[in-house]
Amino acid sequence: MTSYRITAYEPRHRDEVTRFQELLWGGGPRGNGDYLDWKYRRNPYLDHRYVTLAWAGAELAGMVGAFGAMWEVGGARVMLPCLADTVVAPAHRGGPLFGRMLDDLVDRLRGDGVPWLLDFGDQPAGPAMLMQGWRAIGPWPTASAPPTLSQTLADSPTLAVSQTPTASQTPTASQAPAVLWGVRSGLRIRAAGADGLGAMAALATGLPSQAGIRHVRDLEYLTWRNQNPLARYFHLVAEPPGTEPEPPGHGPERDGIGPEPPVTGRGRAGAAGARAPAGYLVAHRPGPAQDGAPTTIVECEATGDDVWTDLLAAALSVLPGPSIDMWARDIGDARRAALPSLGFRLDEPTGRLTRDGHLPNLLVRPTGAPILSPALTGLDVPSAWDLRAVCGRSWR
Amino acid sequence: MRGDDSVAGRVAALMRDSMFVDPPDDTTDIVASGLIDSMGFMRLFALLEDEFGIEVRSADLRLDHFRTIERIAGFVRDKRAARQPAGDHAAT
Repeated sequence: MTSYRITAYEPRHRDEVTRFQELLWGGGPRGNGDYLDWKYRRNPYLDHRYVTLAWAGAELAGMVGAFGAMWEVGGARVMLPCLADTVVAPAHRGGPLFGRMLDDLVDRLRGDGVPWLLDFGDQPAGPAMLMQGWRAIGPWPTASAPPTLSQTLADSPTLAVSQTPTASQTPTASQAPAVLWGVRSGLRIRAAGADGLGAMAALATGLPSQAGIRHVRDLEYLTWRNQNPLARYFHLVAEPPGTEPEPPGHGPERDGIGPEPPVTGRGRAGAAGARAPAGYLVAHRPGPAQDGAPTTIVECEATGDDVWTDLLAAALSVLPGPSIDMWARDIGDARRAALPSLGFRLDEPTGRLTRDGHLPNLLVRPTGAPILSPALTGLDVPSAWDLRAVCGRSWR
Repeated sequence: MRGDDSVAGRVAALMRDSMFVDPPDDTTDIVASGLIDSMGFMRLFALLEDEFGIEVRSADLRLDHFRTIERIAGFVRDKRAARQPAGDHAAT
């Protein structure tokens, strides 16, 4: 039987981890290294201290990562680590290695006073984890729709914003930013760049919270996420006319997305008076280029249901990919009811483990550390969580 | 010695014939011994559901329920005893 040594990650392991994670990340040496740095060194909430490695002699045999995410509950913010990037080398699968790495990680979290470990991932070991004390908050429904893609809009590079926009992604005078109009809300919907993240964060943090613990999406988080070197993020914002100078030309007419509405007589905001958007949407595509992968709407926030629905309609109209997916928990009855009219098909949990394994879930594990804040008790109960706009694919 | 028609006997047959796992007896700890891994448990749950007409839910996943053939049989008996009356079907 193989003897394993479990250790914490140290920076001197970077090259080995970079090579090892080709099994999962597939970004090549440079891409994997950049991703490792982004997720665990430049993470604003937690460094690499809980990344756990398993060694068979001098060979790296397994890894579990735990990256930081900020949550707010009861008026306070708390960092809770999320399990991620778990890999066991093929030669070492089918044995106790994953469980041993998890046990080591939980022991260290307990020793440091961290009360919970979260897992949004698609763990094949999910059943075993549940039998080992993890608790399931889900699963919950997903919604999926084929895109209604416009050739004109799909070619617009201004829809895709990465952390290091290349020359080809910088809009030129001849490339009109994609602009659409929401027929339900009458608002303009356009692609937004990184300079729009502040306004998005202001909207997200200003929206009323449902009961329970929810993910913090402030500017620090949105900025960090947007720097993911192995993903592409698409940002759409919905705003009243006059928020910015009108672009040349207008978006084409689509179902749910109409032509420019008539002038209503509303005053136009001055250039210096930028307004917060009425809604925004963030979509994610994995990288390196995976043409067959779906595009996932990881967030959609809006001040009203009409705006929310228009943003989704716009997303279907402009986003690439064979399908547009989203997690559909905690979105409210009206928004859920609107999904089929847009072409989304809902995949609902059946309650049976053997049939729901493909649906998103959150597993939580109490570490055994004392829970000092009353707000952090009972996180193993589904009703404790407001998971609106949370999606595990956000970080992949 | 249990009969092959007993719940335990049927569970053992499922594991042997469909999963090629053959614990030496009904009290062997199949978890600690590593006879079944995570993916194997999902397969086992599906087999139990098909064989016995039960539903395995997340809330059922306690390690002690599935540690031995004997305990799996007890789990199955409890689930069957609590099953909905005939005519109620699980959502598909």
